[in-house]
Amino acid sequence: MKMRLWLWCISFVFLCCCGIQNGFAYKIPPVEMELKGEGFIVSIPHEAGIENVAFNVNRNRPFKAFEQGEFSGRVSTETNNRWIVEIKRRLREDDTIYIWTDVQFNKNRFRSMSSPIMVSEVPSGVIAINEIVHDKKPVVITTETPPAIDPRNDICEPTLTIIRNRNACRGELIFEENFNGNELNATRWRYEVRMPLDIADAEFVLYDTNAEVTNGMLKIEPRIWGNDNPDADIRRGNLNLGVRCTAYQNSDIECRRQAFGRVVLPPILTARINTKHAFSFKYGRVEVRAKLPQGDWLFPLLLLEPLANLYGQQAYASGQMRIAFIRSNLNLQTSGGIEMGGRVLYGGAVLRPEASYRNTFMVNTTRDAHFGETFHIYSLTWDDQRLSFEVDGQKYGSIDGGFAQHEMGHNYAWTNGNHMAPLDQEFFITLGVAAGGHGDFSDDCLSKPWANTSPKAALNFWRDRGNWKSTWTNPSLMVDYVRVYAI
Amino acid sequence: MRNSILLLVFSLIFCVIHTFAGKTECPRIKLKRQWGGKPAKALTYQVRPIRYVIIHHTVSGECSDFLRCASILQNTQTYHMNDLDYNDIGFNFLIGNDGIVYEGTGWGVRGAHTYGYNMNGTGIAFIGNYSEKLPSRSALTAAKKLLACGVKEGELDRNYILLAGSQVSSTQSPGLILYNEIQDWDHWSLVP
Repeated sequence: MKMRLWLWCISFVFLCCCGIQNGFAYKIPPVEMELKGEGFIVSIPHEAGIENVAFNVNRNRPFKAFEQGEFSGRVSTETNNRWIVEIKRRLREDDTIYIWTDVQFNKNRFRSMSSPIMVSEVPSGVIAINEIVHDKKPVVITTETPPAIDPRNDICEPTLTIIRNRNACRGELIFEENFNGNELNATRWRYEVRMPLDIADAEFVLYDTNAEVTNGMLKIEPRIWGNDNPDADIRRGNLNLGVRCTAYQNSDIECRRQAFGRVVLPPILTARINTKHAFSFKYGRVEVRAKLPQGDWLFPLLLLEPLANLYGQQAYASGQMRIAFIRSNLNLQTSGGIEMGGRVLYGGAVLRPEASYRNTFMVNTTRDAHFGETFHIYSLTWDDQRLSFEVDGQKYGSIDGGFAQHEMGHNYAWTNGNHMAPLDQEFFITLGVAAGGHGDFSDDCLSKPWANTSPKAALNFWRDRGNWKSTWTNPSLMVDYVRVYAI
Repeated sequence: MRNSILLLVFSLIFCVIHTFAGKTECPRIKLKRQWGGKPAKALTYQVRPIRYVIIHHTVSGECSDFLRCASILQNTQTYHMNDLDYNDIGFNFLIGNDGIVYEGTGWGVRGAHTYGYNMNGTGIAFIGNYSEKLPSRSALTAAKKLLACGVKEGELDRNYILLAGSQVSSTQSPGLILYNEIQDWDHWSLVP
């Protein structure tokens, strides 16, 4: 009797193991594409357990769902250890190919949407994730496959979230960056090399250094110009970022500057990175674990920025969202005695350039310690009604949409959008550190060395460095991870 | 001598068997794009091989030429996608009285024909109403060929179970006369 029970147990465990082995242990590898003759082939490698494979392929049209592609093919036999579908259609160099793959692995089906494949380089190198070398031989392009839908729960609940190029299910982790390795993952992040664009709200920095990636952590450290370039003279120098400049709106302002009189070169050198070429989304939940900078007149950039600037480029007409924002000063008060320094955390939207309106669309929470003392988890949930903000899992406020009707936010173009306009478009992620500027520190802050409307603002900030330099003891932004979930 | 005759006889038998085995060739299938169908709004691939085949009728007009069949198919697809909000035409295959098999969602892609049997079943509909009459002989032959082809291609389970829609859901489909006919088919089962 006891023996029988044992046998049952053993076979049960055995079955369980097998079940897991067979059913759940498969992840669709990156799809490879190869140009061949008058057409192209798509394939994935064979693996024991694969029964059949289907590919759906679109040219220049992202999939909105796991829908039928312009080309659709299914194979039930492997060839040379690969599952291959050949499509007889000549591609153009400027085509972008979208693929989703569906695999029967034993008795389960798995599917995943691939990242888009550029058939050729995009001119000016904006969105070229995969590059093809035009050779006589067919070239194999590898794409990065987003996480497959969890097969154990293959009911994909509809989501509000929209992602460039692919579909998601509610709750799905659609972006994850843990900063592993020794350098920034260039398929996800690009460095910005430019000066600030908006004249009415220009921070006093040059974005042109690299971040450090070590021990699973991103570190962005702002430096005083002279520290890196002892010869650079911000009062007489001439800066031309040349072809390295990543400006995409106004290269006259963003890429070149001749110091003269009150016009100085940016006194602070720092880094700013974004996912513009690789990842953008509309509606979702962003979570960032970070240690914010400490030091007078510094502030972290944990932003969502608009992909297309549909409502205009100037003066935040297309909006900006701040997942978290502090004025990193160790002590900062307004003349009215209101605490403004690093103990006050803000989250919200920036819809106007003026410093006097900077807090209009923001919520805040105050702590006893500076937010730069330790790591915190900052999150923004962005849906079609409002922005909601949390720190360490605690909600501290939300901002309702309707900005087109708001007296401080009115912009005629927004009335063409929905309730959240201008925050009803796709946004990408930006991380960085900035300093000074005309829009983030209001003029009634005590001991502020510059006036926001003064043409000498940056110069006066620089001249005051004897006072603020010593406070930059921990000026770096440290980011442990960034995650985005579909909602 | 005797041996070689035996060998000859065996090879003959082998040839005959081989030819007959090869007879399970697939019927002509008009693809969805050929009859003017729209792409599916979403595709759900099925786990192969498929265990059930469910027979239906469309309760529409009949057709015995391509143009008429295509027109019925297009209307059916529009009705299924727009009014019923299906992802595609509901059946995996449809068969006209012209003896042509028309592709619906096709092999291995889930249709919307029989509640509870969409994920593991293939739905085949005869175009027309078969409560009081049979589909054409060529239509019935095409259906049988399609089923044999499905087994040969590994799309259908070797021991697949053939059912009428009326056996597993509250419908008259595929009509009583056609239901009587398929009861004589090899894989029909009284019990679902």
